[in-house]
Parts: sequence; C-alpha cells; structure tokens
Amino acid sequence: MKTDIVIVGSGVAAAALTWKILRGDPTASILVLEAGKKMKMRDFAIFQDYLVTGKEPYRAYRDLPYQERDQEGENRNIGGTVVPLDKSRLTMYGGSTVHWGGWSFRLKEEDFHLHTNTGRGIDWPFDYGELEPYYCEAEHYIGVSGDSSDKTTPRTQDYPFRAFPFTMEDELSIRALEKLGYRYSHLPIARQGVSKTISSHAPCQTTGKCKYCPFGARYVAANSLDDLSSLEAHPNFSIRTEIIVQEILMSAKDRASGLRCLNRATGQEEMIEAETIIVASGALESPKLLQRSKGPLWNDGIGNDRALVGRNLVTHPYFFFEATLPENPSAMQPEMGFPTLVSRHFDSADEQAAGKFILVNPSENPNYEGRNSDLARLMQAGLTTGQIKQAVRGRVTVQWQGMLEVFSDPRNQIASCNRINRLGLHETVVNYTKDTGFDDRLVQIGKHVSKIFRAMGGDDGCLIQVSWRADHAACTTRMSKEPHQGVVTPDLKVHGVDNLYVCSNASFASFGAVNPTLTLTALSLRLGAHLLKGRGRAEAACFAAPGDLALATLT
Amino acid sequence: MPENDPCGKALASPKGELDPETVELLWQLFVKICDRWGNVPDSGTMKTRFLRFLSNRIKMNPAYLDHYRKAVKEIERLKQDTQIPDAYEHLFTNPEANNPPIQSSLQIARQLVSNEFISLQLSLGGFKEFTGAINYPGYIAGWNGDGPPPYRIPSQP
Repeated sequence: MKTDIVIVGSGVAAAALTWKILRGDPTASILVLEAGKKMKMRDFAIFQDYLVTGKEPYRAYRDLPYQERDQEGENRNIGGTVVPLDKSRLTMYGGSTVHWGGWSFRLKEEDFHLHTNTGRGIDWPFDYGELEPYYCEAEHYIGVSGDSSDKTTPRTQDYPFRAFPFTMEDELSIRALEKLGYRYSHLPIARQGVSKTISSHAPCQTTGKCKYCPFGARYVAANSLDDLSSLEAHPNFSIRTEIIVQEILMSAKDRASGLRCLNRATGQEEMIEAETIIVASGALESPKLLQRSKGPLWNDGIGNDRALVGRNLVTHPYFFFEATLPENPSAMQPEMGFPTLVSRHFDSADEQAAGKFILVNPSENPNYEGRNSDLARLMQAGLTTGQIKQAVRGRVTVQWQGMLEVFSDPRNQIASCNRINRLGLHETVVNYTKDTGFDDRLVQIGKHVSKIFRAMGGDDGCLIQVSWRADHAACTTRMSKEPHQGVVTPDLKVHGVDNLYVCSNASFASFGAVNPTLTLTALSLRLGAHLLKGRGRAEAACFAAPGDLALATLT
Repeated sequence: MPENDPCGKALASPKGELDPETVELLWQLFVKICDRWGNVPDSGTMKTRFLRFLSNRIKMNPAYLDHYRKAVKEIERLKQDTQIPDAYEHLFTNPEANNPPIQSSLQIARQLVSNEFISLQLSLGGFKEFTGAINYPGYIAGWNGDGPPPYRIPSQP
C-alpha cells in the first residue's frame, strides 16, 4: 500500500491536521491509521445508558490499572510516584477526545519562555505571537465558547461562540474571589454554540452529561473525521482502524520510507509506504514507536541518538480540595456538566518559578450530605420528599479543583515494553518521581484555597486527593532548536530526518498549568500550514469548523 | 414511537419482546415513583419518553427483557405478600434491595429497574421540585443562545 501522507493516530492532532491539509489541497492523499476500534457516537440509546448507569460507554478502550498482588493489570510503574494510565486515555477512533472535558485554554506568553524566566526546563523555540493565529483558528475548529473580552491572553480574533454565563453555583465563589482580590474568568469550553452557518453539529443542549454527547456538541475527533469522510469530497483521504503500527521503516538515516503494521482484524502484517509520516499518537505511544524503530541507521531508535526520546515526561497533578458549608439556603444544585468559572490568578509570571496553577469551580458542586450524594442517590436511597428538601438545604460539601505546573526532568521517562496489552499495544513502562518541592508547593496552594473556602462561609477545608493521572502527559519528544535539547524541530520534524514528524503533546517544550488540547490543535494546524507550503499550496487561515456545510453542498 | 402504541415492535429485540401487560406494569411503577415523591405534576406527559427509554434499554442490552419481566413478577409477589403493607414502598425503601451484588429478583427490581426509572424521571424534569433549579445533569435544557441561559445564574451578576 502506498500513500502520500500517513498519520499514525486518530485523535485531535490527526483530525485537525487532516482538516487543514484538505482545506488547502482537497485531493491530497492522506491515510489515517488507528490502532483501536470505532464506536458509535451521537446515539441516544448509548446516552441514556450512560445517564442511568453512570458508566462511560467507551471504558473498554482504556488501559487497565497497574497489576497488583491479586489483580491482573497492564503497564508498569517503576518510579517513586504512581502515574496511573487507566482512565487517562482511550485507544479508539477519535482518541482521547472521545472522553475529554473540552477545557480550551491558551498558554500564556510567559509559558514560552520558561527557561529564560526561571532556569527550569527549556524555552519554546518560538513565542506566543507565532502560535496566536493558530490558536484563533483552533478555537473555531473545535468550536470554543468563550469570553472574547477576557484579557488573560492576547487575541486577534473573537471566540466563535459566546461564553456560558456563570452559574448560580458560581456565585459564592465569585464573591469570595472578589473579596480576596483574586482574578477569575469564564472557562473557555469546546461546546458548539448557535452557528451562523449550517452545521452537522447541533449546539450544546446543556445536557450535563457531557462525557457522551448525543448531539456531538462537544468536540470529538471521531465526529470531525467522519465529517471529512462523508460530507466533503476528498477522494484520496481514508481512515483505517485496528491497524497497529509496529515500526517506522527507514530508507536512509534522514529518510523514512514507510510503516510496518499489524492488521489486528486479520492478524496479517502490512507494509505501508509513504512520502511523509506523521506520528500523532499521544505523549506515550509516539516516543514508544520511535524507540521501537531500531535498526542499523538508528541503533537506539529513530531520533534517539542522544537518548532523549521518552524523557522529560511531565503531566499535570490534578488536586481536589474540599470544605463544608453549614447550609445551602438557595438549594444550589449541579446544573451543568462542565465548569464555567476558572481562576488563572496564580497562572502568572510571578508564580512561574514555583509552579503556576489554576483553580476551577467544578460543576459537581455542591454535594449533599457528604461526597457523592446527588438527587438521584437520595431518591434511590428511599428518602422522602421532605427529607430530600431538608438535605439539599442543609450542610453541603464544595470543592475547588485545579492543576499545577510541574517541570521536565530527564529522569522522568517512559519506555516501550514487550508485553502486548488487550488492545494490541505494547505496554508502557512509566518511571516518574515527583519533584522534592512538590508537597511544599501543594501546602502553599492549600493555604490560598482555605482562604477562599472561609470567604465562602465554609471551614478551612482540606486536600482530599492529588491525581497524577497521565491525561495531560507531555514533552516526551519535546521540540527544540538544537538536537541536543530535544527530539523534534520547531516544525515538529524529528531532528535528522527529513520526512518524519511528531504531532502530539509529546512535542511540547513545556506546558504551563492548563489543559494541552487547544495548544495541540493549534500546533497541528500550524504543521498543516507548513506541509501545505511544502506542497506549493498557499496557507489560508480558516475560521470555519468541521461539520459546517456550505449551502452549495446541500443543494 | 407513537404514544398509543406502547407495546410496539420497538420494545422488541432479537431475543423477544415485552408483552403489553408487562409494559403497562412497568409504566405503573414509573407512575408510582412520580406519586411517591410528588415531584412531577403530570406523569402522563412523560409516557412517550418512558417507552422510548424501555426500547433503548432493550436495544442496548437484551438482558433487560428478562430484568423487566423479573421486576414485574417481583412487584406482583410483593403485592401478594400479606406481611408487606405496601409493595412499592417496600421496593423503594428496603435497604437490602439496594445492596450489591445484584442477585435476587428484588435487587433486580430495585437497582436495575426502579433506580434507573428514578434517574430517568429526574432527567425528564423531576429535579425541579426539590431545588427549583431549571437544569440538571441529563436534562436537555436547551442552548446558550441570545436569551436567558438554560440554567440559574447569579442573582447579582
């Protein structure tokens, strides 16, 4: 099999990149390979099953937890800090966008100058201004609802959809933040709004069960790839599932020639030749594929002559603080499936050296009669109407959640393991140990959060959990100007190879305190523009979204 | 599915279909939930969506044909039991019925049928009575357009 461009992975990077290239070159020959299977999206029966059971319909496509004494598991954690892979990603068509929350933050200007500002990690090889036009395009591509007047990050284009107003459940938090002088803003969220064009994606209907949207209003790469396949004329674009890439093949030290793959459905090995190879398999699988691709030309794996592939792993520790409010006189109740209030007050240049963080008022606030009690559970427990009404106005618990920036350390790394998991992937060895200053930093954060809880009328609260889950794993093939600092160039090309790219969180130089998906989307669109230029096609910024239909298409 | 066709083919799966009597008894259970908690002014308006829910559950998992049949039989058994003054109240409140794992017919009737109907009922609007909110996880409240948002906002924005 032969193709012009082959993309390994079918998540947001593959979808945005494909969309960008096909916009500029509709007849481009592109093949997307996905290791996992395809699941039905936008199905109301599946939505209702999720509604009444609370079980996410795609849970079969997750990694299993690590092996324990009396329990079979997958992958190995050999570092000092457990970084769980289960629930952190999905191996399926559409990748982890199938379960992501849609939080769509931009990095801030100072994030691009981490090393210069703090001596930690490395700088990005370009600054915010270089990525800003692609951030604008990315916000349109994934359909972000946000506040265009928010000055947190400079912008040259408005969000495509207006921000979701703060909820009544945000009110207490807003008063507390204002009392303390902490800045806050609307949380930009990838939810379709009312479009000026005809779209195959309905606007968000605020179902509150966003982890499986029956309307396709939350961006999911699977829906976008389906749109590209079915709604528009792209004769040379195709997607194949259950194709597991084993190895990248090289024809010369500086030239990749194709991929050796396993067709999981047939059990047969296949060779796919390509002019350009783009690895877009996330921060775990991307470096593992490079590491596995050993041969006489690259003894330790492609791009790995300096042993940097898989190193410098970072992820976001996600923290949960909880306090009790003595009463809930206005009967606050979770109404939404996503948060609407964020504070990036501590996501600032002043905090950068210690580790920036953001605080989010979670949409689950408040909980009645302790953790994990909502109206359904109160009814299902058999309480009477009077007892429920009393419970919702009585003592409640509220949380602040957030993410903290941690810094790259070459000792923190991932590697490929020979054992194959039940989804057909090589298992992952994770070796991560948190920084010695981390616990102190968390204590400092806790003091700020306690002040907020007290200003809300609650007690001091306490830290109830820190999750090191690898949802935001990044930097494992980080970009750099010079090959001694990183694995890929500023254009995401593997140093020393002319036609091999890594388009993934793996290629981030660092990534501050916010979710990586919008930045990855922007980088993917930027890579698409770069490839179009290389094909002699002019790049045109596009402020449409997948699924937007021209009237001509319908007539 | 049309409301006057409560036991149509949509309530079938390759493994069989629910008979009209079973469907009617399940609907009675749903109405009893609405009556006990008094949180829905007119449960009849929910019947079409209730029937579609049954159809979707069976479509997703044909084992629900058995669950529904067992639940109905269990409720009939409770009604016949002279030691139990109110079959539905027993079903809604017996703590053992809510314990995992799900093994007995009573546990099936509570956890896989009644509790799911409660979740459905709340998502169809039953939540409003308890808190006065206008949205709830699972409720399809509408979009964030030019008008007021489909959820409560701060009193002093």
